[in-house]
Amino acid sequence: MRGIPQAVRECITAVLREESSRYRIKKMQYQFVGKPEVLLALLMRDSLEQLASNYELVVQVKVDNAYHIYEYLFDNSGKLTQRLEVMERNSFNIQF
Amino acid sequence: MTKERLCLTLFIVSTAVGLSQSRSDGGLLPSVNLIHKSKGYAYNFRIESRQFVFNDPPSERSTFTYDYGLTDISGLVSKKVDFDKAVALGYLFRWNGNAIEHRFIQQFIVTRKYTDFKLAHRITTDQTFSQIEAPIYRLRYRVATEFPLSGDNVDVNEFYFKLNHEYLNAVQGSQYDLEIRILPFIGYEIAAGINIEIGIDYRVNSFLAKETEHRFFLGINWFKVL
Repeated sequence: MRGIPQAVRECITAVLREESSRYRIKKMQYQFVGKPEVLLALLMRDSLEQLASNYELVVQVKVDNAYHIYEYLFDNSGKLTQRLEVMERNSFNIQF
Repeated sequence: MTKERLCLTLFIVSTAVGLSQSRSDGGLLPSVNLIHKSKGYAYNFRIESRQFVFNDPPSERSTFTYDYGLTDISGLVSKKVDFDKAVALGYLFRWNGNAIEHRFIQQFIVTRKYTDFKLAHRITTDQTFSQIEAPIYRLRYRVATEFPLSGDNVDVNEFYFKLNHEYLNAVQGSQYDLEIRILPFIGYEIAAGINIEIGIDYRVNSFLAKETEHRFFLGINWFKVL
């Protein structure tokens, strides 16, 4: 999260806090958007700062006493564009 | 070390330890596990049976004869209390051919999912009562790991490797014993929520006393999420 601009980070945090008072970010990754040939050219020149990016977060959330895992997609201004629930394979064979 | 070499090393070590010691017996240990999730709780219903097929006492010849061991029927209810932690309470009914035993179980489980494997720590206390023996009180710690044998995740129609390692401290009256278990298993995901596993359930106990006892079971586990 430290790699995200401060203003964007505050927007993302505000959305997550609205979802639940208890959450844990498991993973965050950049999602670069644009035409493939343009993206490749910029990556080859190492000009990442010129790339527009979305932010994809995988977050554990406690809602109504139940625990869920969601994948959030935020645009480069920190606005939420998509939320999908992640259905993880169960672990009963190593828990019981 | 590659995953395949790790599996082979563990099988060899577990076998070598057993062959170098005295008394041993073993057989089959099949189990059926039915799991149901509802409103934040998970319910596990389990039937397990222990069948002996060989007995190797130190002063006699080895014998290969079938001998019924016991049957366990148990139920466990677990609830998540944090993102990666759960508590569980359960009851086990055991028939060992001579008497009925009742066991009450309490568990605390921590499960972590890493990039390409899972790890679960389980602390258990249980109390076993029967009419013919003094109560047995146990404190157990088990670490279990599972990782796929192909790719980064276990998908349907794929194999995985599971390894359990457990320490069981038992007190009965004034007697104390420590049992150690190592269980390497190969599992296969038949369909979403249906797994079958086969492997070796190796147990060593009484090794603080004069005659160490080793047990080898061929374990066959079937899991189905309802």
